[in-house]
This record gives sequence, structure tokens and C-alpha cells, in this order.
Amino acid sequence: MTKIRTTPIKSMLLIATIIACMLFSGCMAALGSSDQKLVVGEVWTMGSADPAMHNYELNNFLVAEGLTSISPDFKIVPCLADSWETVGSDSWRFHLNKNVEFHDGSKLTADDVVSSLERTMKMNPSVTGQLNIKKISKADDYTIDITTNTSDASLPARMAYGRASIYKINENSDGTISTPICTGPFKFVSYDKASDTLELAKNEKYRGGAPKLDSVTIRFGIGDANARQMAIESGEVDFTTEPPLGSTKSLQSNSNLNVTIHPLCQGYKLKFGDISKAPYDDVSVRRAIAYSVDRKSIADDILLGRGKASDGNALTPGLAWRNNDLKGYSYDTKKAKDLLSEAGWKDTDGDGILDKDGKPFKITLYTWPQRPALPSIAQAVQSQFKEIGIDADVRIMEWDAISDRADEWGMISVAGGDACMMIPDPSYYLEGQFLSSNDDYHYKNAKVDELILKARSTFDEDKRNDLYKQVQKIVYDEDCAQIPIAFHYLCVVTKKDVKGYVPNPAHHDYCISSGIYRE
Amino acid sequence: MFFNFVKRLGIFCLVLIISTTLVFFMLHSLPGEKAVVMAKYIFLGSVELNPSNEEIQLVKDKFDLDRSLISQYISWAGAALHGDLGRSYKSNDPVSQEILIRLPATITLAFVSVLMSLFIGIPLGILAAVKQNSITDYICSSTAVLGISMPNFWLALLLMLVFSLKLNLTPTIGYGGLSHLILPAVTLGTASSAVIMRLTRSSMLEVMRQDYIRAARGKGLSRKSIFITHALRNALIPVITIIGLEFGHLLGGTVIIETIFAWPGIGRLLIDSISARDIPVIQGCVLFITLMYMLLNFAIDAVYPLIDPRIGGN
Repeated sequence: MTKIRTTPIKSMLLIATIIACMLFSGCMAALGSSDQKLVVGEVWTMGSADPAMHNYELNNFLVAEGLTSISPDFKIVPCLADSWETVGSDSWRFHLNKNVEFHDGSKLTADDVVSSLERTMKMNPSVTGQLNIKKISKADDYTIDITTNTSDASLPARMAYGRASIYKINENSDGTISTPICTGPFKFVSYDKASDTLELAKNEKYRGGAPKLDSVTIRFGIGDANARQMAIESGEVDFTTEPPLGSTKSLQSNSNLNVTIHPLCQGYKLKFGDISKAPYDDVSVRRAIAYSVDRKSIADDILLGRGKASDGNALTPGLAWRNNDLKGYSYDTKKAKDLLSEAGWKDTDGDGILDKDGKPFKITLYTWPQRPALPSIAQAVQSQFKEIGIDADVRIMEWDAISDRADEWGMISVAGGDACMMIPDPSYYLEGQFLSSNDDYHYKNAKVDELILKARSTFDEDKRNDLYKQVQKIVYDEDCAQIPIAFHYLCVVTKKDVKGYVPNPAHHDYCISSGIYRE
Repeated sequence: MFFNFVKRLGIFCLVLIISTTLVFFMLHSLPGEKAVVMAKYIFLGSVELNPSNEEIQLVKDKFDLDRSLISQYISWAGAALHGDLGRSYKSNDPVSQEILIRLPATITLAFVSVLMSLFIGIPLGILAAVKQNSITDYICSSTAVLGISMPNFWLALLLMLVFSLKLNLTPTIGYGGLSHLILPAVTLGTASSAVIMRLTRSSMLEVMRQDYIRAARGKGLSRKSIFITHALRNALIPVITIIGLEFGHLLGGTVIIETIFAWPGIGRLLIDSISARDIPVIQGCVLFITLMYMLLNFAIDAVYPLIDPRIGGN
């Protein structure tokens, strides 16, 4: 008899005790406050601490540095190299800063540069392809000679690539590096794969002066935007990015938080599945679609201040090589309809959908769910297409499944994360998007190919920028090869006492700054 | 008994072989060309960029993707038999290490959630059955319906909002101390408590209609004795089966909850590996999850005779 009474009571007691313990430890965790410490809540996962394999994390969190770096106003500035010059048409010479020390106290020499770049290129073909290096050799202890595969004016910019860092080769027995030794303002302390947490400490002897923070903890893999918002609101992290699109106002009104929204070299665009086939092989159709998109309403109503309507050029305003004189395509449904009707698309059966030779203008508009604004943008575009008589079906699926459907008739996608400064040089984006040998949507224009290739080997900066401006004029204004919709802005939320953060829009997605401190 | 054991072992191996084989060949039918997707993850770090032809070829050469699927499978299975699950394509770490890192997090979360659902589900289920059609019953049952129907990602955010943000009692996200466990465990435990509560209730009511209960009543046994010694033991059989399934399901990982709470579980590892076409890790995870399910089934089968001696008697 007594059994019945005690069993539930005992279990209740047990539960109560467990919960009490948990709550208590929770309180303790929440109480711990910091002096000059910063906890960052990161969207993506880190994966690997090996400087040859990481994805910009070591660079963005100021552990690793390259020969050059990119300033917030988009200039290639000295970093580990003091200066550089061309030696002949396919060769560059870099002079190293002689006062650089690694985190273990040893001096940086030409040997370190050669060995780390060679190791990275051997392990990571993507870096190899981007750096375009044929041979790298030491001229003396502080001078490096780099020969490129082709005559390449962009090499100094490519040296600022987040994955071309210089590090000490302290490999484990299996050839991997788990404790990177680099040269930046922060030292690598540990990386715990289970909790995806990176711990950094101040580099007291940093040549540009030690950073103000004593330590930085980066908690990777907080992929859920709502969870990030709550983590910063509850004070568990001190610095995070990209809270939900609709949360900006409530975060701004929170007196414990600081919200910064700043431009980023990323954007949204419409991308055709196959530009060489009907209906998109007709430039009038592409232009009509460009006229049909109401960019302002997308920027205002969907991006909610976290972006800006595009003026017709996907390149970020402020870049020296950006063509600011494009005429672009305004929102003009009448022009769009006229263009389509000139191209033979008319509504002959009165169902509100255009048709030509008996084929209705029914297309599928694809996008993917990982970037929160994309599905909403796709829906907005869908209704704007409807205005001009194009019937689009929106389908949201994984990126890889979308790329499999590029051959469908009328396939078009809304793309996000369109980063034009991954490597801070115009060649990176314009070659990747518009060179006929590189593209995946069959865009071909011999003139564009010629200009792009010529620009790569043009060393005079003004002439080079001018060539790239001509490219933009052709691909955006004349050919309408892609349709830029909006620029994406980054939202950074920090605690009120986090000061000294200087945004660098040239970084992908962001980097912390060594001037950050706690008040 | 011995024959029984051998038979079970045989089935065990067969299921393992079939499941890994199925998964291996199903991977081939995932959208996107394998080498292209792998090149994106391994070398570019972003699915939104397009790899060059050289990068794709390098991936093919490095991981032997030009070989036929069958020969790829045979070499994987051969190594796996020797305990070598290979290395992750993406991180270059051994697959066993990738799984072992996530194992404690997964097991703790699964165990605590199941424990919670037991302590809440069974007593409430009994209570509802004993007080059938009373206010208590209605409250318990309708709460259970709420628990089942609430989407768990929503519950997770709600719990975070209340307990972390408003009351400041628990950390919102992350993996570490006991305090980090509480919200994900409650989120996962809620739905399974509700399932177990409803099952216990209906199973109890079913048993209460049996003849032997009427006989026990006729003998003049007290209500409590009837409930505990006669009804509950019999009613628990289906409940235990469900608990086993729930536990197995939780050990296989719960992607949404793991993502929201940034919890380093097997589920997220598996999903990330599937998107990256990281085949050795996918295979390792499938092997692990299958193994877990089957071991649990063994354990559940071993528990049945303790509750009902008629099972396993012959």
C-alpha cells in the first residue's frame, strides 16, 4: 500500500532536486561577468582550425594575417608585406615587414611565407585556383618573388584573400595543424570541436600595439536567428550578427544593446537558368523582367532597413572599379509589357498570362531557405511578374537541387549571398560571373571575355578600372545578363558596453576589430 | 536459448548490412553531382559559389569518385569490418572521432529527455486512467494533446523566452554544464511525455476491462492493489515498446532542436554531412544509429520478462 504513495512522491522529489540543481547552476553561469572579454555568437560552424582548410575564421577573428590586407575603404594595404612591385610582366616581388613576430616569439621570414603558401596550395585546390601562383621563391630573408601563371595585376589583392594566411608549419604526425601559430592581434588558445568554440587571447607583443581585449571566445554554429537574438538579449554573448529581419526595431529599443547596420559586399539578384535558350535568349525578355522588379518595395518591406535597392549594378558602391553611370532598370511595368509584346509575347486567350506560338509564359522561380530574406523576395518577385503577365511558380529547395534544374524551360532563381569581394579585386567577381568559360548559365559575349582578360593583365590602375567599368556597362545595361535586386546590409548587435567596433564592409561576412573594448 | 541468440545475432548483422547498403546507394540519387557538391563544401566553404572544373576533377581524383559505386561500397565495407570507418572528406578527421565527439551530448540529451517523459508521462497516465472522465482526466488529457501538437521548435523558442530571457534562470544556447541541458531536454521531453501519458492511460483503461481484473475485484482486493500489481504491470508492455522507440529516435538526433540550441548532436552531424555529401561520415552515422536502435531493442526485449514473466518463458 505504502508503495503507491511513496513512488510518485519520490520521483517528484527527484525531479524537483534535479531541476533545482540545474536552475542553480544556470544562475551561476549567468552571473559570471567579464572585464576585457568578448563572447561572440557566430552563425556558421568552424569545422577545422587548420590554417590551410579554414573558411576565413582565423582571418576574421584577427588570428591570421596575409601579406596584404583590405581596408574598410576598399584599399589594398600593407600587412605582413611592407611593399610590393612588379618584376617583369608575370612576376611580383614582396618586401616583408622585418618586425613581425609569430605568436611563439619567432621572427617571420621569407621561408615561413613560402612554406605556408605552398602547404595551403597543396592541401586546398580552391586557394590554388584563386592565387594563380606558378612559383613562389625566397630572394633573401625578407623578400619573396612570386611568378604567376598568367600576367596578373590582381596578385596583391589576392594575397589579402582570407585563406592565404601565413602561419608556422607545426604539423601533427598526420600532417594536420590543430594549434595554428600565426601573427595577428589575437593568439589561438584552443578550439573545442564538440561545442564548436574557439578561444583566443591577446597578443601582447602585436607590432601595431596589443588589442584592448584580454580574450575572445567565439561560439560557432548558432544557426538559428531567433536563438542568436535571445542569446544577446539574455547577455550570454556580447556580440552577434544577423538577428531575425523583423527584430531590428525591438533590439534597437533595448537599452542594453547597440545595433549597427552597415553595408556589406553582398547582394540579392535574379539569375537566369540558361540564357542561351528561349525565352531568355531574347534580350527584350530579360530587359522586360528587369523593368518588372520593384526593388524599392523589396528593400523597404522585406529587408526592413537591412539592405538597399540596387541601382542596376551588383558591385558595392564605393569600389574604385564600380561603374556608377549605369542607367539601370527602373520599376516600369508599362515598359516591361511593351518590350514583351514587341518580342511576340501577347495574351491571346485572355487568361492574363502572356503566350507566344501557343506557349504560355509559365516559369518556375527557385530559391533556397538558408538566407531568411530569399523566400519573401521570391514571393514579391512572383507577384510583380504577375503584373506583366508572367505566371511564376515559387519553389523553395536546397541549392544543389536547384542547380540540377537549370535546364528547365524558363528556369530563373533568386540568389543571395552574392559576394563580390571575397577576393578584394574586380577580377574575382566579374570573371566568376561573366567570363564565358566560368559561367554556369551559358552567358557568352566575346567582347566581355576580351575586356575581362585584358584587365587581368593591365597594371595601370586607372586603365584597368576603366576596362572593368566597360564590362559592367555591357553585362548589366546592354545584355541584362543578371538582374541585381538589392544590396544586403549586415546587422551587428552588441552589448552597450562593447565599444570600438569598426565595421569593415570589405570582409566576408565581417571581422572583429582590434580596437574593441569593454567600458 | 542459444539458438535464439544466434538467430538474433544473424538478424542484427543482416539489418546492419541492408541499412548501410541502402543508404550508400540512395546517396547516389541525391540532387546535384556528388563531386560538385563536395568541391563546394571542401574547398569553397559555401554552397552558393561554383567550383572550377579543376577543383571538381581534384575531388574526383582525391576520393576516387570515378570508380563504380559498387567498388566504392566494397572498399568502404571492407575497411569498416576492420573497424576503420575512414576519414571525413570535409574535416579530414577520422569518422569514429567525429561521432565520438558528439556521442556524450547526444546520449545525455536523449537519456534525460526519456527520463523526464517517464517521470511525467507514466504517473499522469495512471492518474488519468484511475480518475477516468473526471476533471483531472480532462486536464491531463488536454494538456497531453497540447504537448503533442505544439511544434517543438516553437516550444523551444518559447521556453528560451521565458526561462532564459525573462526569468534569467537558464542559458539559452550551447553545450557544457547541466544548466545547458535543461531547455533542450524539456523541449524534447514534453512531446514524449504526452505520448507516453496518453498511451499509459489508454492501455490502463484497456487492461481494466479484462476478466482477471474483474476477478481480482471479486476477490475483494483493494483498488490500489488491483491497479499496481495487476493492471499497471500489464499495461506497461506497450508503453515500454514506445519508450524504446522514443529513446532510439532521440539517439538518432533531433536536428531542429540541436540547431536551435546549438547542441552538438549526431543529428546535426548527419544533416551537415548529407548536405556536404561527406559519405564516410554519413555511413558512420547510419551505422551508429542502426546499432543504437538494435541494442535498444535488445534491452527492451530483456525488460519484458521482468514485467510479464509469460514473455520469454519458453
